[in-house]
Amino acid sequence: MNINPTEPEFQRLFVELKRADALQTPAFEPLTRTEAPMNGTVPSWWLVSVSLAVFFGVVLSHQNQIRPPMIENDFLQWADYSTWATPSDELLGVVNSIPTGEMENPNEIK
Amino acid sequence: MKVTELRKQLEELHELSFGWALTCCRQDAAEAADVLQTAYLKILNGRAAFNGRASFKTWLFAVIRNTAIDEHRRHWLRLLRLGEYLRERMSPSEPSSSNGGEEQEESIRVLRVALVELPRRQQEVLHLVFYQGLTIQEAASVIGIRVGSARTHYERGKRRLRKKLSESKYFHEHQPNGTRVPTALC
Repeated sequence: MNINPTEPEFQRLFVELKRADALQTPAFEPLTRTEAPMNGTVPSWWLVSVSLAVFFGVVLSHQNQIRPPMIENDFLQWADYSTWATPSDELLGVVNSIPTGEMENPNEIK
Repeated sequence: MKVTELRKQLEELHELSFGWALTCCRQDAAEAADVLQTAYLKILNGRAAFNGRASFKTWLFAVIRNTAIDEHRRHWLRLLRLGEYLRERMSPSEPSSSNGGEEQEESIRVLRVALVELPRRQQEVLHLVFYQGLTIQEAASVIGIRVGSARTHYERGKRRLRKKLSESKYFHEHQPNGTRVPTALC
């Protein structure tokens, strides 16, 4: 036997391969019907995408529960603006309370 | 061509088509069956129409090949099944049962592994010539390449396959010392 197969030996090998393939050839009829997956199992890429979608859905809903809704945030911001005062307002208050030396009723000095 | 006539021709070539689909799907039987189903539906629904420029067999094989390439691209997410993918790459699927002996099965398994390891074009040309009995010109027409390129792939493929088979442990263990010779090479 020659361990380096020549062309006729290739042909013989391929004939054997053909016979082996014939044994696992699926029936013709089912392949011409518009039915989904041959093996009847759900493809794993589909399972992966569905589980990823569920995971992100859960994460997003959880985040929404932790974070106050936008409207509430706006109200809090406006409330902060209404009580806000600049440091110069404080200064003006102090200045106004200092006596200026003007008499309240000049006619009293006589 | 009428649908009934198409069905008849497809059925006649069904076994050979499956063998070709296996080659296009790197010997993955489940994927080959899916590809074949998609190709048949394309043809029967009129999405792929036979124009009579080549022989029906050549045209059908070109449709199967293109479908296999499309399916492979579309289902890239299958790579997520990395473990399964690698396992399948390491040992291509084998027939569930065989009428032949263990040695015959082993020689076929070795041939499958050697074929899968060849570059795709070389694998395709060798399959079309040795398995399907097409000429190099017809093989070139199925693959959509020039005859010169097909001839180069054919010669290189033969050389590589020969090398791979002679390197394989199985073919070394069965050297001509008289006792165990694989039936496929007798």
